[in-house]
Amino acid sequence: MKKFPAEEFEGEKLREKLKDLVEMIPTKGDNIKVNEDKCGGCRLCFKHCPGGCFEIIDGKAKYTYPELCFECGACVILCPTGAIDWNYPEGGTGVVLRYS
Amino acid sequence: MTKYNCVVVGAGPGGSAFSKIAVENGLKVLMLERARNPGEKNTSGSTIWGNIARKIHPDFPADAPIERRVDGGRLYFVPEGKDWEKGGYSLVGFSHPSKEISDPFNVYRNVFDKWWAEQSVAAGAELKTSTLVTGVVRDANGKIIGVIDEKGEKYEADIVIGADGVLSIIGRMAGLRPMWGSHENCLCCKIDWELDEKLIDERFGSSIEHDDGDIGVLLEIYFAQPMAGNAGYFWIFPDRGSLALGLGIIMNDLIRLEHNIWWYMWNSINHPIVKPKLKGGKPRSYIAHSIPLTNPVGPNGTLFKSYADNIMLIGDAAGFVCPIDGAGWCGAVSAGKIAAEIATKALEKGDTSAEFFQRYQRKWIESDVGKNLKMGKEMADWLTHESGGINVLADQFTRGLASLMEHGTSHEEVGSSSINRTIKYAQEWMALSKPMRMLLGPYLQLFTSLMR
Ligand SMILES: Cc1cc2nc3c(=O)[nH]c(=O)nc-3n(C[C@H](O)[C@H](O)[C@H](O)COP(=O)(O)OP(=O)(O)OC[C@H]3O[C@@H](n4cnc5c(N)ncnc54)[C@H](O)[C@@H]3O)c2cc1C
Ligand code: SF4
Ligand code: SF4
Repeated sequence: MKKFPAEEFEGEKLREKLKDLVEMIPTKGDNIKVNEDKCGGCRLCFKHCPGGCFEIIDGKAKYTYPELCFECGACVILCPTGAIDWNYPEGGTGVVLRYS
Repeated sequence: MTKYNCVVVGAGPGGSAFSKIAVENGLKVLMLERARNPGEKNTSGSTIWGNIARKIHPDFPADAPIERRVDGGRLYFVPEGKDWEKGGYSLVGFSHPSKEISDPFNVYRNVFDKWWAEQSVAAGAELKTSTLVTGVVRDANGKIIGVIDEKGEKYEADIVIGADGVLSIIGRMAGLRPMWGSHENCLCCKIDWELDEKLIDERFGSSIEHDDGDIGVLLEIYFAQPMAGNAGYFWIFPDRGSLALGLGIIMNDLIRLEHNIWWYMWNSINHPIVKPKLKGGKPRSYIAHSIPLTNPVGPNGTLFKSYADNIMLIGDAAGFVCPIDGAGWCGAVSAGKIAAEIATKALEKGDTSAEFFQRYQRKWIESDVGKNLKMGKEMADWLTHESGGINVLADQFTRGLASLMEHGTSHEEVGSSSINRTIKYAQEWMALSKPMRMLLGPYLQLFTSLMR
């Protein structure tokens, strides 16, 4: 069976796949914050965020793409150092799950 | 400020079920929901059960927005190392013929939850949407007397109901539970796959003939190494003109797995046994959400309290999800009803203290909610720790099946004690109203009849 390369499902390539089929009411995106002092750069949030919302720059995670946040909580739950401050976006904004 | 008897945070299956019963009992109820419309933030397989829905709406499914009647399921086991292209093993089971015991339907949650909440509003509950609740309000003695939203608006009530899902702000702010950890959360992704209704009928339709000529479908569940290792399962739940494709993996397992969830999803939908079933269709939306797989009914009793003075938690917020198949709709709705009855009694007596609400915990533990949790937990523990995981089990089952097929009724090669135990567990488990009954039923019948 053909296996896909991992990079196909991370970062820009993942966002490219998802973006037309995820509906979003624009949010400020300040509901999720990475505390860089606490971030150990383990990349778990980058790898497992299903919306591809994180980047790793100079060994630190950054929440740079809030456009595809599914509000699933995986980042804050997975982060081993408690570096992620997490909240839902403002009421009435954020992801809209159609055909769900 | 209006004071309510109950303010319910979250207009999902649990919150709306609570509200409907509570207003029917004469209580003044406000539901607060962060989405613009209830259901917009919610997702699941999405199978729901008519017998449970009728606890809230006796004439269900009358005018409910149902996608498909579910007649049964196919369960696929793919042992590690086995090559499915050369023939896998699947088992077909049919749903219980009695609608009192199991009456499953597939729905779209964004449509269904909206309708479900509207029924509670029609019965007299108030609903305020686009409102994110950010905390609880306490009196000078620290007792909860209401909630507050992100704009600072306060809502006072005799009783607060936390029905705000797996990541429950209310449960955390009330100090009843933490944000659950990676071993207690299952990350799920879903693709809604548009496919012609006729193709769905052909590929997933059941052989049951219904009086109205409608075609019911079979759910498919895959326990398969190439899909999610032994860490989760892939499913296909057919709707009217689309398929819900889902994959769930416990977050703790994600940490050790080589790839992320979308990678496993892509391999699942491109797997030789799945791909032909999707042919002719295309994705229509992508979704992700977490399922709580915590254990409110631990082996040593209750791990956390689902209540305190003036507050009760229901549904995902309290972890009422079967730890083995991830079904939580029934738990949310049934607990919503129990909580509404307790709330009514509490207000009659003028006693909304933690002491009074012990009854809530006692009641849900005694009910199907608690029984399912307990049994599911035992089985999940056994599957993951003792039996060596679903793959080993799958391997035993499939080897057993293969040897039965080859050797007629001889069961020597099958007869390992673990199979006997599986049968025992599964039988006990199936004694409850569970979706697994329809999936495991015929499988176990085959084994038990041959083992006799
Ligand atoms: C992918 C997936 C598949 C599943 N498949 C099935 C299945 O087939 N069958 C089954 O029985 N179960 C299934 N489940 C589980 C099921 O979806 C849940 O158990 C069920 O939805 C729980 O209902 P609830 O009312 O407790 O919570 P939810 O459905 O999560 O509803 C909570 C509500 O509260 C709102 N809310 C949350 N926080 C706030 C806040 N702070 N302020 C205001 N509003 C708030 C949310 O917007 C939401 O409307 C599945 C789950 C997932 C993720
Ligand atoms: S909540 Fe989920 S989708 Fe949003 S950033 Fe965290 S992991 Fe990504
Ligand atoms: S998971 Fe936490 S520690 Fe790891 S990279 Fe992300 S923010 Fe940093």
